[in-house]
Amino acid sequence: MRVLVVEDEEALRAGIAAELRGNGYTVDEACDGEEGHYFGSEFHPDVAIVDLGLPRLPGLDLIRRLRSEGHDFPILILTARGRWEEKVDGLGAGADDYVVKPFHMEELLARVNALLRRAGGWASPRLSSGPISIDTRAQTVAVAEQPVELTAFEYRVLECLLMRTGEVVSKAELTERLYEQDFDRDSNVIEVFVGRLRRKLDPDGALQPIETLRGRGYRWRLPRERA
Amino acid sequence: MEASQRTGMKLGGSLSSRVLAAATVLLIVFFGLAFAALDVAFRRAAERALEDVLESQVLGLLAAADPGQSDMLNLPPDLPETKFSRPGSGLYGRLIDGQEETVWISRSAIGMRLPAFIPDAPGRAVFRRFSLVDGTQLMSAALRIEWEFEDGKAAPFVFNVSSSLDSLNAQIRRYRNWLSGGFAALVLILIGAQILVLRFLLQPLKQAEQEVREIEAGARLRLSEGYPTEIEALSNSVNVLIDSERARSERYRESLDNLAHSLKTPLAVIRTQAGAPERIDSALVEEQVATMQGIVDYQLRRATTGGAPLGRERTQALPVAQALLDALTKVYREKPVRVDQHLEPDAVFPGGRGDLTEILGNLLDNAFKFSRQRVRLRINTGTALTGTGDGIEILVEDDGPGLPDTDSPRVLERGVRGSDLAPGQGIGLTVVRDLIEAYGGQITLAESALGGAAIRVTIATGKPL
Repeated sequence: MRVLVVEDEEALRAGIAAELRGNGYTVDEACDGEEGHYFGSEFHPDVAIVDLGLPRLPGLDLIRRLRSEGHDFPILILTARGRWEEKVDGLGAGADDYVVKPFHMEELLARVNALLRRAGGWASPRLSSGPISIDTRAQTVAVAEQPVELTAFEYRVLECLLMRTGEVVSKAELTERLYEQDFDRDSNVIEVFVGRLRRKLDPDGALQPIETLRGRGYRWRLPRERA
Repeated sequence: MEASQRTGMKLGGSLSSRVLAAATVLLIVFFGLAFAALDVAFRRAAERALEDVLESQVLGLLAAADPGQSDMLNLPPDLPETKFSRPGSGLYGRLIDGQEETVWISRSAIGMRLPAFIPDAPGRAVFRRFSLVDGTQLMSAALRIEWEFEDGKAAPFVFNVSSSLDSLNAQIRRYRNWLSGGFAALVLILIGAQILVLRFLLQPLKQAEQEVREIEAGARLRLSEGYPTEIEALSNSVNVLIDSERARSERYRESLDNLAHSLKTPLAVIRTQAGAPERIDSALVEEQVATMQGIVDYQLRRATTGGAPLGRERTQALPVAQALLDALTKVYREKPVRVDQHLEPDAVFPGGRGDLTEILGNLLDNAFKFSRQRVRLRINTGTALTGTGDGIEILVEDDGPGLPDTDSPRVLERGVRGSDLAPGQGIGLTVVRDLIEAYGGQITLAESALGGAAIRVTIATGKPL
């Protein structure tokens, strides 16, 4: 999952980005509103974390601009004052949730995770589809209640597909969510990951959870189960 | 921008100099016009009087005329009016016959080329003004008659009397001098009176200015009472401003003091940890940092919110409540909370949008957080709410576990936070309490019919200042 972090305080931005990367997210870092707008409109993040007090383009204006341009990825605002007026303005401008500074990283991660799940239409942090389930908080995977060990990249591919159950996800999109730079866009590495996922989740080929659509991408074909 | 600069320029300068300048211009215009009118009237009257004199002189000549032989009129050499006999006297008589030949000329007019004119109609004196070649101005009266001689013949004659205008002009000059002198004195007296009246009128303003200067210098606390009605509103407002400013700085000082003192304890704890880096208790440090953060949050909010609502800003409650409910519905999207709203459309909060948002935000956030599935928000207005006139009532209820105990004032104490309440509730309610206090309102906690907490806030809205 690709996260855009727009924060002008360098130490905080670096801290958030490091924490997110450590939890398997791909991170774009922007230090002002204009840069945030560039990343937000060009790099298709799955979620954005936006500080309200930004230089060049204030956070509120950034959110309004992104929303008016039709970008609908969830946005989490960081507010320093914690005044309700600021929160209401931010949420009214199109943000989806807020975190008041200073905050614990765990809280920020939980909010980001919740926003991603909600955007995918999942109600709980546990995504289940057929016998396969993943816990997006603990980042663990189980098939028929039996834990399955995945590498970080395999997990990310699985999460991406499962989040968007029923939709076609192109290789390019998956690459974008795995790598911060797009130097590897054309590689066959995605095919390798998908092959490994199929073997690990469905060793005897009975489930066929991932469908390959030639030239278009992959689709998670098992129905989602709501908790 | 431009407009405000223009008004700014307009508002500059001194009031008395403005009044004086305006009054002076008005006085000069007024007396100028009065002078012109009186001058014209006087000149007319003087000319009319001269005409009367000339007419009677003409009639005098007519009476003195003596029909001689051969159908001719004669006038005696010595007339009752001696001015006719003295050369250069300024009064000149002449008699002209039907052929416009001078028949007789007074001794005073010998050697002068008096203008001649024949009136069109007989029997009535006609007046004209002339200027002679030497610049002498004349007023001339002429009377044409048909003289019937004893032998039955009749012949036309014109009696003509002219008078120099020198004396008339001198009279007018004297009159003008007198008038302008008098008017100038009057203008000066009036302007002087104006200055005195202005000084009297502006004295309270001068006093206020002086008092403000004393306040700035620290020699005085507030403006004195008993200003004239027109200024009283201003002086009262200044006093309210001063008081609220003083209360504000008092509060800031108090907050800073509290802040400094309350931060010392956790700082001391952390310092003991720093002394022994090999066995740092990170849980303890974390706890102290959390305490410090709570203190900073609390004091920061207390310092920036509230205060005497001096500006009497007023906020429509409905849009604020709706924006908040939208925002909270978004934040608590995963929780199926049903919100009952009973919002009076015209409810007005007697303060700024920020303060109302803060009050409602904290109350509603708690309600959403603790509710199982229902939150109720009512906003009412009425005169019976506060006992002191118009008021607004905000009632927030939820169906959650309710407040920890019914000893409600304790929940509002600033220290109660964290352990027995969910994080944030204690400080949220404290902020609300401080705000309500600043607005002179009431906050009461009770059990809701829904099963959870019911928090009721009432604030008098009163009349705007």
